[in-house]
Amino acid sequence: MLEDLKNRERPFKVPDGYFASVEDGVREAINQPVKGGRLFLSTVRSGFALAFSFLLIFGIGYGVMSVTDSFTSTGFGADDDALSTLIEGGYIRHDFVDYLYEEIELDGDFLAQDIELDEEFSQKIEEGLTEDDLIEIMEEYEDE
Amino acid sequence: MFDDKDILDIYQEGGREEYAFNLLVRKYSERLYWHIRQLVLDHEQTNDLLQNTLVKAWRYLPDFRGDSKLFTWLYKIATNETLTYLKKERLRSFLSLSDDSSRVGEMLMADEQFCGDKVQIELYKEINKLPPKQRTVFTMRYFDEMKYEDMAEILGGSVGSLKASYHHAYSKIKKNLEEKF
Repeated sequence: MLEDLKNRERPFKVPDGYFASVEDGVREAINQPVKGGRLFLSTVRSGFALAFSFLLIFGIGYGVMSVTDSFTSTGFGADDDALSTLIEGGYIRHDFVDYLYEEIELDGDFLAQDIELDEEFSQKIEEGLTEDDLIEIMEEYEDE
Repeated sequence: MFDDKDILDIYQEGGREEYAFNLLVRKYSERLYWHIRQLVLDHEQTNDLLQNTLVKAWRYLPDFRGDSKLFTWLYKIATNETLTYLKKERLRSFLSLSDDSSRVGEMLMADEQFCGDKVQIELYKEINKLPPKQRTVFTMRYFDEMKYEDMAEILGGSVGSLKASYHHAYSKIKKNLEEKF
């Protein structure tokens, strides 16, 4: 089904004459004066946003560690991934966890850990996977 | 149509920078537009991000050294602009506790510029559930059939990790669509 969808025409329309007007729009945007005050405010705002993001990430991390400790001490999900437990229990939304991972920008090694690849496949990821490798990995993952 | 070398030669001649830049805009704006639109879906937002991309291209063109192809460079700027926007939207969505995927469905159904059917709406809803970077990887491979090597140049990361990310996204979306239809 997914392969059939790929071959279909794009389901988006564009207003008539739009692409011809892009040049004028860009020229107008380029000729807008840059305001120093706004630039300063934007920089300060970015600084606060960054500080807030760190607080949020560390706050969630501390919360996860606290909750995980109480789970493992009561034997609940002692061998389970702590985040999966929290997501399934409705304590954290899965898309927020995805957002955090994206912000931390974990690399390919993280992806290997996420699906519990053994050393052989971790090595293959570094070398470059073939389509057959990926199918094999995902079948193993789905069977777990 | 001028090739990249001609455009850059005209730009570097001196006194014809604006003409060269207009050639660049005419040559690449439509491709950049569709790359952004597949990710953000909405025409107005796509237009804003495209404008931002091209303004940045104008600003940084004097520093372009030709280490990569001109389109790859532009694509990278467009992707960064779009990813920044998507990440902000995702955080906003989380903080407002809203259900993003049903919002996407409603938005597409109400959008006069969208002419797809129910299956395509569900596809975009599923794509929208992916984290921003994985969404970008999926879109670039699935719709644009971009090579992983080019993707690595634009997004960073190894070819292997991009392949794994794409395949993971593909399997997730395929499974969810097959459950619905």
